[in-house]
Amino acid sequence: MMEQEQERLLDEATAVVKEQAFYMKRAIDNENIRDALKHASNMICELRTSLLSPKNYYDLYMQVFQELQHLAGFFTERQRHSRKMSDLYESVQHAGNILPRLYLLITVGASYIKSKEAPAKDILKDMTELCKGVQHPMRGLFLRYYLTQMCKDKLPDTGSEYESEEGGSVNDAFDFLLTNFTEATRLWARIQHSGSAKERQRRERERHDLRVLVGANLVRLSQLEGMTRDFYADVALPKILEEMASTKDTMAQQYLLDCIIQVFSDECHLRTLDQFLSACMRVLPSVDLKPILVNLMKRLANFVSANPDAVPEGVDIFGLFRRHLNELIDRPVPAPPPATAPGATAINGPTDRGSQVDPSGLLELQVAFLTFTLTLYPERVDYVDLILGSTVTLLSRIYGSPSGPGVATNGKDKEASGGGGEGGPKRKLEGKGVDSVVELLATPLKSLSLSILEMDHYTNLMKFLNFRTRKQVAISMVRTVLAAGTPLDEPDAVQRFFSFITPLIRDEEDSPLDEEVDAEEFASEQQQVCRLIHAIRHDDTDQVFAMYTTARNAFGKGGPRRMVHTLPPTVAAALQLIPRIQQREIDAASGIEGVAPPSYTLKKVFQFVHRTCTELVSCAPEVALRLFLQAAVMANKCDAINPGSFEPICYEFVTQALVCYEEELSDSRAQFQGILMMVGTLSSHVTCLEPDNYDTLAANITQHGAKLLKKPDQCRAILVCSHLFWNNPLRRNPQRVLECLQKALKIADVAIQSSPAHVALFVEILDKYIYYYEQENHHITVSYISHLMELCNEQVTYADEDSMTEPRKNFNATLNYLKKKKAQLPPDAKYAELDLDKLSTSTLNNGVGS
Amino acid sequence: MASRKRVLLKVIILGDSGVGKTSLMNQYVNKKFTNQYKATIGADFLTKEVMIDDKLVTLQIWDTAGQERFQSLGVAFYRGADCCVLVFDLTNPKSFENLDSWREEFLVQACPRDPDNFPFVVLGNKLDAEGQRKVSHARASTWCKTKCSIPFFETSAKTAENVEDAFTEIARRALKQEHTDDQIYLPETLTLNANQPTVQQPTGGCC
Ligand SMILES: Nc1nc2c(ncn2[C@@H]2O[C@H](COP(=O)(O)OP(=O)(O)O)[C@@H](O)[C@H]2O)c(=O)[nH]1
Ligand SMILES: [Mg+2]
Repeated sequence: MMEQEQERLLDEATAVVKEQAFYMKRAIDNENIRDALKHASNMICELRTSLLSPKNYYDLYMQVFQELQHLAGFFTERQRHSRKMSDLYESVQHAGNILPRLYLLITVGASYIKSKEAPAKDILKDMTELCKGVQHPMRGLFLRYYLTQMCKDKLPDTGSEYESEEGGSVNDAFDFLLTNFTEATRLWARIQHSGSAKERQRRERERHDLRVLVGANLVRLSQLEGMTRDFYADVALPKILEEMASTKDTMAQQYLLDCIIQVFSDECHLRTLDQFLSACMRVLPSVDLKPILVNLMKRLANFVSANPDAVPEGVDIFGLFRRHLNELIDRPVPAPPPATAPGATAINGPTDRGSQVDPSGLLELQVAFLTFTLTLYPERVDYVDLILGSTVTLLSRIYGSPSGPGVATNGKDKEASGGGGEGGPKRKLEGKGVDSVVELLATPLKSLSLSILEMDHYTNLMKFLNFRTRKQVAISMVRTVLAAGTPLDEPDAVQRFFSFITPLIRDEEDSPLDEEVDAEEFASEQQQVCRLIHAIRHDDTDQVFAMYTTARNAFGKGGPRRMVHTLPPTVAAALQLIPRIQQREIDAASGIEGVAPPSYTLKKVFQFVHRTCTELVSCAPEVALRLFLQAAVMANKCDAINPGSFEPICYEFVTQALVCYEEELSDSRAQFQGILMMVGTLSSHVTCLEPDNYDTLAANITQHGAKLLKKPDQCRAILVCSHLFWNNPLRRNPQRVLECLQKALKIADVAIQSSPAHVALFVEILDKYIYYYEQENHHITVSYISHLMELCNEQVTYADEDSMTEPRKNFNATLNYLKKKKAQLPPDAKYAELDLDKLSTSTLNNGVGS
Repeated sequence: MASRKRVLLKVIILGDSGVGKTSLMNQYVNKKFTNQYKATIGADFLTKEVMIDDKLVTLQIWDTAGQERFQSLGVAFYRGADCCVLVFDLTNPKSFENLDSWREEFLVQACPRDPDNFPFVVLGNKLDAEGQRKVSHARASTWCKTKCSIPFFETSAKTAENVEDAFTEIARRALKQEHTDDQIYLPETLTLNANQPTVQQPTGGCC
């Protein structure tokens, strides 16, 4: 019906109600009971309409109700109407029309009870019975609503003034409310069968609107003083549930279950949890149990966390929920459902949507259950595992077993894997359910942290996810561990942890191709992953090393693009562990109490480092070279403490660095840096090598320096190589130093032919000569310096302006340095023979060559 | 013509669910409090007779469900209210912030004749939980002042603190409102000899 039409009808009815109410009240003022009843009856007649929508009918009802309160007030004032209540009660029953008759009967009846001139229970029973006369659903519902509204404070409830031998007890109060509840529920459920099939949808919508009239009865029941927990459990709830079941109506069952949860107290629910949940399992399959159970869990979580002692003895909340939820999961996958009532979607067991079975409703329920469980039992890792296990069972039934053979499996890799890389369900979960599974996996991390590693079903659950989602879960796991600063302190746990984060660790069948990966995002993920190495901590070096090995083995499967990120920190961490192991070896050897020799010896760790670096050689040669050298330095340190024992290891590492240089470094800049690093390490940090070994390495490096592609690089490399023959006092060779410098000079000579800018090389060579001269290398004499100065001066003067600023500045700085040496008091005798004066004019005037 | 002896005043309590509307009403009418939480469905009332300035009045206090889904038939019961009580929970800032929308909702749905001067009273409940207070007295009373000086009480349904005082003020405001509203209706058919008016035949089917 049109909105306007409704409005007009309501306006007309309202006008009549107002008018009749006016006369009714005037009659009351005149204490004319006959007229008051007449006008009241006329007014109530407006409620006989069948044309108003439920909301508009309620509007009209409220007006009538409000006006009838004046009449009710009048009835209770005996002295004003001076009638016996029983007479009044009798007389109103003569009204011609049944609806006004019953409204008036109730109005009088309520006052009758209040007068206590007759037992409350008898009047209540009588009215309840008479109300059966109205069987039109909407009119009947409102009439019963009026009945309970008028009588709710006049029931012979426990402790009420109407409770007595004759007046009745809480049982009578309960019977009254229950009967009215039952009648209301039936009237309400019947609406769906009235009228034509065409109007079904509108009827169902109206029925939905009317539901509060049914729920109000449950509210009244819950408000009874006599509604003790026992009474609720033994009498009330069974009756209510029986009525609920007997409706055989989706909307009714759905609504009543929701109401029961909302209107009765938490104490009551705890007492009857099994009873209630069992009833839930028996409702029509079209009832959506999800919101109902979610509400129940929310309520109980709030209540029990505030009142932990309120849980009755012997009530296993977790166990009860689990048992009943599993019952839902175990239900057979249904055939496509018949058309259900609007607004009702079944989440009662897996549902079938077209050809796809949709577990999302049940998954959401599992999420709610998990949240609930973590609130009530924050420590129970085993509970979480059970929930995840049920979820795996659910998904297995739809997507296939997570451990079964997958589509494209080679079946070789038997290692624990968190991913869908090999084996696993045939299809991956998609759509709405995905978020729920991510939540199931992520939520425990928030409070349980690493203890989830003890769970069996975590990995299985992940297998139902596609790569993106698995990675999402993996990243959140890594972040959580890092953020919480949780130490990774148990080899098994680390093993597991790495299997959980497999999507970050290595490529899987369904990993995206290289070109689909965002490089920046990938790098940032890998950096997160390698921070895990630093989370590995333990007092026992064996344990630490075992965990490093686990990590390394996992990283080793990551392919070059991951290893570049993950292996270097692993090597660095292993090297840092070495001093601790050596100390332990020493302590154990000297018999310090409680110190056992390590099972993972220094040698084993060096092997580990060697192997790991070797893996990096092809994919990150520069990094590998640096790490080999760092390892050599560490071996050298060990050898210093335990002389002779680590020389071969040290030699091997430097050799490997050299091999790496030879075989993998092709870029000239990288080669030059490589030479610098090798020289730096060997000349300044490695002291343990056998003379032959040292000399071989030094000679090799120098040869490589001389073979660099660019002349200036050659020149500078040779200059640096000179330190190989000087810095180590045991292997000092002044003659070789000089040869290096001379060789450098020769190269510079060639270089400058191609570009005068290379004059900078001469200045650098000069500085090196001065250095060794001052270091008292007797093969270097002041005449070399003098000669070189002239050469530099010449070059600096005649070269063109632009490229000369730097070298000239450097040269002047050197000149000034030497001048200072000569000018100081007493003058530096070393430079007595040096004549700087002849240089000064041309250079210091800064002129443009004359 | 003797005036009806009895004055019936209608009061509506509004606010988010859980703030203590039901508890306040029960404390005021029945002097009872329970820690148990039971949701209200639809709307329901309790009555209480009180003397206000030597006048006997019946207060009809309507408690409502804060949640929309429990109000499926709409809010026709707002109509004819003589005073509206807005309740928030002192320990829950959100419930305070929602007062504005509750007030709006009431004015829109109840259509009082003079919305600007319709009496409201604000109650900040759960005063006993002072330790968890999240809405300061100053903040709440400032808000009330900006809304045409709505009277503001801090109450506890648990300890009954200020409950009696608050409802007395509510009743007083309601009574004042009722005087301005009352006795305006005059039926068109009213004649001096009070002829029986023509009654429209009800439409629709049988009962
Ligand atoms: N501490 C305290 N708790 C209260 C107070 N008033 C109500 N409550 C509690 O708050 C919860 C909700 O109360 P209720 O009256 O049902 O709120 P409503 O939804 O607004 O009707 C119940 O658990 C009450 O016990 C109060 O003044 N102090
Ligand atoms: Mg309430």
